[in-house]
Amino acid sequence: MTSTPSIEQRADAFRSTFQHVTDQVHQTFVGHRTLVEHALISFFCGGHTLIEGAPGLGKTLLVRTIAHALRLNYSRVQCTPDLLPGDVTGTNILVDGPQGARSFVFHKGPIFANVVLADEINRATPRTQSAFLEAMQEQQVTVFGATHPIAAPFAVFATENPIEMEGTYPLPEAQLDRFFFKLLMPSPTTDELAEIVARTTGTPAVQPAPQADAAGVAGMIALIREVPVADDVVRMALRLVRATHPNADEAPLSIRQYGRYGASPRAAQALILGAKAHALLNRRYHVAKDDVRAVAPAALRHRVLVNFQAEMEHVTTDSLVSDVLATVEAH
Amino acid sequence: MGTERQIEAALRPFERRAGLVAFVRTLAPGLITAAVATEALWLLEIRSPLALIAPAAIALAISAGTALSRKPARLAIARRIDTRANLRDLVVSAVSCDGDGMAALVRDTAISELGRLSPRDTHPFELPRHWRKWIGAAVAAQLVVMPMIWQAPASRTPESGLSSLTLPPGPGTAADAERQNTPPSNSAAADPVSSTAAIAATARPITATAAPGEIGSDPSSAVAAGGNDRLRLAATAADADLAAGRVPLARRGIVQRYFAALQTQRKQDR
Repeated sequence: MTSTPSIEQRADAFRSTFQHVTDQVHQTFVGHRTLVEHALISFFCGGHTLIEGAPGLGKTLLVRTIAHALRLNYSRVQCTPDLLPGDVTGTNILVDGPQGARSFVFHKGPIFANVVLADEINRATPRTQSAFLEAMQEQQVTVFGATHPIAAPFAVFATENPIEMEGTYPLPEAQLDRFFFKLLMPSPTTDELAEIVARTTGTPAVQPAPQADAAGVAGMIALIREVPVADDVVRMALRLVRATHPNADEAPLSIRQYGRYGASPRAAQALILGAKAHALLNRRYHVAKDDVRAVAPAALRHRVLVNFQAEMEHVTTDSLVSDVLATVEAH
Repeated sequence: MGTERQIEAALRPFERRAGLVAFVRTLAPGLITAAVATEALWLLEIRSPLALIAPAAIALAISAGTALSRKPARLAIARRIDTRANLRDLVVSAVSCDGDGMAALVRDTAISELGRLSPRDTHPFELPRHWRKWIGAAVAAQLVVMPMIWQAPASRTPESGLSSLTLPPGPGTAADAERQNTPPSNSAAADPVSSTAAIAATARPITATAAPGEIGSDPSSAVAAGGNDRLRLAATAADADLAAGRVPLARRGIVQRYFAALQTQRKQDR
């Protein structure tokens, strides 16, 4: 009986911290409120985020600010074609011991941080991209047969540049599926641009003190998982996932026409977890179908693979996800 | 902390209301059917009080049975409340999720919201599911039954007789054959029957020996008569009763007489 105030207090603390980080991000990062909210939801759900946007829009700033506001370790990997897996994971280095004996000591790579920014991940070779796979999925790194765990919380924010595709290695489906959300960062409007110029060319604003730490973030991640979900809502999320498959009965016409592969079970997990966080943010202790709808585009857009015809006709996955949502809502 | 029993108790008024709404929804088609059935019984001259009450009572019983057998599930009621009161799946979550912690908080919130809601608002009376079809069927039934009632002698004044009764020409029967031997004296007799005089003109040769109040004293005439001829004979006899002031006999109606003639013919056939 004493647990009720505790949960309410934890939920209040969650919202307060979330709001604090959001405010801090928006002190330096202009606009894109939904994107910031989804990036934080993904982070607090323990997921990894893929951000697609042109250079200079503040992707790095966004990730760095999140890490700072939560007092977390931050590292950045600038991905290039000559980046090696060892540059990401770390490697064994031969060192001299106190008595002159030489031994290999594991030197941790930039992946060993709470918040990792993999900038322009599609410029890295598939071999290097796959180095991220184990770390993202298993939260550990294996080098020379030795496994090194990565401390929690751990989140990879990877960015992609959509305008320069030459010399890039598009992420394989298996790796795309490991990202909790994919967020699109469109170009700023004129007003937003004016605000960016005003903020970045004047005196830098004083950054407020961080409000949480790694332990606090771990508590928030645990709290999200406690939110109950009704079977109706789970089934709605599953129908959404099923409807992304071209051969499924639930699939709308556009998916049958333009879809190649549908979303995996990870999509359903992302939908439900994201919806739980969204519900908590909206002062609810239960998940509504609206919460699932709110996070569906971010959770599904990189998991719906389109065919050649869709590429020819410039059909976006977002429009297909909208069709899927409309179809599922109609039933 | 809201327990599962408390949420069940909070939902009980809504369940009762949902049952009532389901009953009324199934009752409407039943009553339409009952009304048509009552009219049909009236047309068949079955006019006891029991005959008037029985269809409605049967409709009520069937509706109650259907409403009970199709009683909406608790989850369905919860969904309905969420939709009508815009509670964003709160009640569904409260009903579905068990355990303590946040689930108990959800139940608390749901109980508090349910206390503010009226079952009348969440479960208003609604038209039956296929109400357009039911109304169409009822109107169609009225279009068929009402003219029959209107044309029945009991619905008419003694003076009006059966002058408005129109019948197609009868099938090839002995009466027709006899009529063919006697050329028609006027156009009204040659045409399909359109008046009492015409009925008399075509029917008298067979029913010359018929006493008022009967189809015909000569059984062979009833046996020989076809469907339309039977109706003509019945109409003629009814008119004769009216003319003679035997209103109770006339009230037995043309339909009853028709079936009486049919029965006689069947007996003869046996």
